[in-house]
Amino acid sequence: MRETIHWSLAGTGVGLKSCHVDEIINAGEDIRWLEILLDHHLVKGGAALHNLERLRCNFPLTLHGAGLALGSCAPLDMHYLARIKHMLNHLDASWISDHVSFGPLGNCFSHELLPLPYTEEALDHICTRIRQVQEFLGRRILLENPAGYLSFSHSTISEGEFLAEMAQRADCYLLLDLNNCYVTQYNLGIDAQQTLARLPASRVREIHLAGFDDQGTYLLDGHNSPVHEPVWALYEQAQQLFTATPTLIEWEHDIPSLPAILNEVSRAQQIMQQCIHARRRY
Amino acid sequence: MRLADLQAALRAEMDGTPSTELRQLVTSSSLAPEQCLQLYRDLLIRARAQALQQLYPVTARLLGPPLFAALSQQYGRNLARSDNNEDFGSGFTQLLQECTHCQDDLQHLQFLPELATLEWTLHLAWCAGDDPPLNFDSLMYVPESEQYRLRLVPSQALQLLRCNWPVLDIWHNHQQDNATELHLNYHPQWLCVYRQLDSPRAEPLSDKQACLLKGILRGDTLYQLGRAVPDINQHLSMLISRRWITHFELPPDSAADDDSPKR
Repeated sequence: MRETIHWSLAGTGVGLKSCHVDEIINAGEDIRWLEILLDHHLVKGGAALHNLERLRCNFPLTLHGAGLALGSCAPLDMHYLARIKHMLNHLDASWISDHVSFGPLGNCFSHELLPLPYTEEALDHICTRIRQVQEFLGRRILLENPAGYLSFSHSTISEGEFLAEMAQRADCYLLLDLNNCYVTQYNLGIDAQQTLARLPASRVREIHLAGFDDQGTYLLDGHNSPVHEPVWALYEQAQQLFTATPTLIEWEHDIPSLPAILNEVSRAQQIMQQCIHARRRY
Repeated sequence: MRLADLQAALRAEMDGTPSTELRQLVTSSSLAPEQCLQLYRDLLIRARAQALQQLYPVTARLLGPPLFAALSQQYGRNLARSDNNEDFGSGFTQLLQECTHCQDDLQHLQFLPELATLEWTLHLAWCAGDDPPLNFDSLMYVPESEQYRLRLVPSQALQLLRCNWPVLDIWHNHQQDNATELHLNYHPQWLCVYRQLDSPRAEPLSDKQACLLKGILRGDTLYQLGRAVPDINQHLSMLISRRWITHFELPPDSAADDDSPKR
């Protein structure tokens, strides 16, 4: 797919929260780029859009959605897609990402990402839809690995193989959520390192870091706490495999002050720099 | 199990209809299949409640968390027409209307559908399209003989509500959890919901102001508005200064109605 060059981005970004807008504008070089929760900002006008237009002047933006339902057997929502395309072009966003999952089905709606079986049928299905979406948007999209709370016994492909094959066949990029990898490893026994090792480095364009909720018998992808140590360890490994991949600190609930998030940004930036220097030495 | 069947079964499980075939396929390291499915069910309920709570914060506060969660689950399962935040909650007031009529535990909250309508309208005002700046110069090009046909175009955020309960007072008084006691008097009033400097607002209107605004929202011509509200000039300046009117338009001649001044 031939693409227009959009704003490039590098380093560590943060997810935009409306309570931080004014602080972010004054944050200077501590923030390198911002990720926008698309479904909270698909508006025709008003404060949400005006804030993005203000921020657009100073920061590269990426859009992150949960509504494309690329794994769903329901038809693609072309109205939703048209609105996304308008937003992408209006903000000249660097890219748009969504999830390897299915959501709405028929007339029943959900706000939750439901899991796909890792089968050839599901792979064919999602690849077809990714290509349709990319054709419509005129650019490649990024697909994120979900947090796993169950798996299907008739799955025939590992998660890593599914993601790698999907990226190649659909000619899309990958958003590697390391917190989700760790949560899936804990809940389902899928080795996160093996998943990372399967992914083609040229397709991994973004990494997400976030905190999880320990519920005793399982981990929940809570996005409500600092990044946990095992996830930082995975991040060091990921940066060795996918050096200098732009990284986002996600924090959706119980949102702390911006400086607390910037501490996480700083740590991620340090790890990224160390991996870049190490690679240069060899 | 085919992908489409699996998705239909999983969706049905989310709404409480068990699928034996699906449960036989579900695995996890630490949880039983039913526990895995219940986890997704809980996440779904929480996500729906959070989405609606953001749209209806005062309604949620007055209902209390358990009742609001139950209603949001019922709404998400049966009535929600869209997943998008912009219009996900559009039918919630209808559910409240039905519930306040038939549920004994909601008898003391008869005003709730109107309060929810106010909150939904404020949400629509918050995300409405932006208006162009008012350009008076365009009026110079309208011949005097045609001015009676002019239409005033309202702001995209502007809406008019007729309420039987003092919902604006209730809404203001319950912005915090430690709200004052409800004093409910049957108190019909007109409310105008609009956006000012990016903030959605609501304020009461007199009957005459409401009559004028209703005509404008209906697309009445200046002549029709003048007939309905003889002292229209006194009110127009207020509408313009509040930016409730965004521009003027002269519809094509063929669209001119019979309701024109007899000369």
